[in-house]
Formats: sequence, C-alpha cells, structure tokens
Amino acid sequence: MRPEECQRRLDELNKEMDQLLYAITHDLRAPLRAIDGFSQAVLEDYGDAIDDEGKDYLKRVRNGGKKVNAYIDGLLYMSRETRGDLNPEPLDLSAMVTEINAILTNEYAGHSPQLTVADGVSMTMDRILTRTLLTKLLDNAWKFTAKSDNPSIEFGTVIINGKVACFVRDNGTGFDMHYAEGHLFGAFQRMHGDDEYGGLGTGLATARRIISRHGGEIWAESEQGVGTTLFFRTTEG
Amino acid sequence: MFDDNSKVILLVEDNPDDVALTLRAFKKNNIMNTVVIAKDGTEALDYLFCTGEYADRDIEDTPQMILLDLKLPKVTGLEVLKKIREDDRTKILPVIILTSSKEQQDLLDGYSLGANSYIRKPVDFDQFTDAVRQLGLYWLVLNIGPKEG
Repeated sequence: MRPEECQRRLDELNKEMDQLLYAITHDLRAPLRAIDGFSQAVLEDYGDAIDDEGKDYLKRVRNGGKKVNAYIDGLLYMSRETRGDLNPEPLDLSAMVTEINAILTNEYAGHSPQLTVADGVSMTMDRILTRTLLTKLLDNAWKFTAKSDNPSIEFGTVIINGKVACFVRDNGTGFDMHYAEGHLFGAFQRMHGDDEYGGLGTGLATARRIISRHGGEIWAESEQGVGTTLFFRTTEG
Repeated sequence: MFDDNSKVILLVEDNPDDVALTLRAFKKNNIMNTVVIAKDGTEALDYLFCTGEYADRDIEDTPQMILLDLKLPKVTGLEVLKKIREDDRTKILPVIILTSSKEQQDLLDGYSLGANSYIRKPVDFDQFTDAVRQLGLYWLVLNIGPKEG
C-alpha cells in the first residue's frame, strides 16, 4: 500500500472509531443516571432506615458512577480534540510553545517552571491539532514538575538517525520506563496514583492520535526523579 | 411553586429509569402538573395529533410544554420535532429537547428544527433536579404561552 493510501485508510478507521465511541458513550449515560439518581433517591427517602455505613456505601456507588461519567467525558473530549480535517501548513512551533506556556501560567497558580525554547522551530502540520498536541505535552511537563526544585521545561529539536525530532523535556518526577513500555500513550494509562497527581490519563493518548494523523511518531525517555523527555516527529522530518 | 396544575406536560422518553427520575425531579420541585408519557416518537405524535389510542382527545387541548428525548425507537426525536413544527395546530408549542448528547451536531439540528431549548441530561441527579426546576420555572411560570397572551 502507498503511504497516502495507508493514511487515508487510517483516517477512515479513526472516523469509524469516533462514531462507535459516540454511540457507546451515549448509551452508557442513561444507566449511569439511574445509578446516581436512584442511589440519591434511597439516601433521601429511606435515609432514616439506613445506618452510617450503609449511607457510606451508597455514596461510594454514586462516586463510582460519577467517575465512569468522567471517563466518558474524557473519551469524547479526546475524540473531539483529535478529529476534523487535516490542513498542514508551515507552523512556527517555537512561538506556539511560548504562547501555550503563557496560558498554562494562569492554570497552575504558584508553579512557574523555567522555560527554554529553541528559536525558529518550524514544521508543516495542522494548526489546530498541533496546538492541542503541544498543549498536552507542555501541560504534562507543567504537571510533573510541580514538586521539583528549580523546575525547568525545554522545547527544541534533535537529529536522530538523520531525521529531525522535536522534544519537550522536563526535570519532573519522571517514571520507570520498565512499567511504561507499550502503554504510556494509551487512553487512561497513568504512571502515578490519584493521590500523587490528578488527571484521567488522556493527555498523551491525545498527543499520539494527533501525531498518527500526521503520519509521524511519538516516544518518551524518562527516569524517575530526573525527568521526562517526549519526542515527536512527522513524516517530513 | 406552580399554581395551575391543569396544564399537561408531555414527556417523550423511552427509558423507564429516566421517566422515573424525571417524575421524581418534578415532585421534588413541586411541579404537580399532569404528566403524559410517550414511550416513543409514534406515541408522541398520536397524543399530539389525536390519533391511535388518543383518537378521542381534543386536539385544542395542547400541552404546556413538551420534553423530548432525541434518541427514540421508531420515530426519532428530531422527526417528532419536525412534524410538530410543520403543523399549524402544534407549531407554536414549546419543545424542550432533553438528551444525553453533547454533540454539537445534535444541538445544531435541534435548534434549526425549531427547538425552544436544549437541555443536556446530567448524570448527577442533583444537577438534573436543578435543570428540571429551572425548566419548570421558565416554561410553566414565567413564559407566557401563545394562547394566554
């Protein structure tokens, strides 16, 4: 199969997956509403007949339902953020990174990692999707440097095997590559517990889908306590 | 909260759980209106146009508001809405779409076919109750219907 043919097939499959996802998630909401609504109804109407332990169980039922709902939202959001027509154009990624970083400053109050951006990094990619991609990678770096001393984030390019790859590097928590293999970029895959870092685990999955729509590759290098570098390249690299 | 209980609310909803939850949300908000339930699009059209099991109903006696689910067996919610808007006898009735869908396209379709409001059914029952409260306040109390003016 020619590369263009492959890409067309991939786009078709992605579209099909989005439609399936939409159908499934729509149908999941109704039973979730029943789980939440009737647990609440029991708590309100029969609260006197249930002791504190029973009430705690019902609250857990409600929380479970809400969590499933958050996952559904995450999936739909991911699908929405990665679809749409692909209109590649030359982009100034350095400027985009600086711009996104300024937005993140407002989202993470009290956290201000040092940002270093290589000048003039340019790639031919879809503007909207690339913005989302860089937002996910930078947000990841912001999140996992929140507990670092002298947190720093770097954006730049390297040449690997004769091809240009962009990278976002942080000196954050990092993770054990041994556990990440094969599923770091999967939906809802998280390398840290809920009590350490929040989030659903859709950021890198979204990033991978955007890169795959551009026919490129994304990969990570990480070491616990040292930091993480996320690399990506498109076909042109 | 709502004085005139004679006005009918037509609830078009195929899921019995959602029907029970919606009725409970009405009750919690002291909305005492008669609620007629249509389990699919065909039943809704039968009620509105006085056909089938509603053949003896007076067509002049229109519901105060219609709560319409989009995803229905047989005739879909959007088709029901289209029929309501096409007929002079029903085209002015307030139709509120109540759905699980957050899709932009469903929203656009609903509004372009003439829905008066579009409410997403939240999973959280407290939010759902609040949405029903606001609906009732607006469409049963504040809004002056075409026949009252």
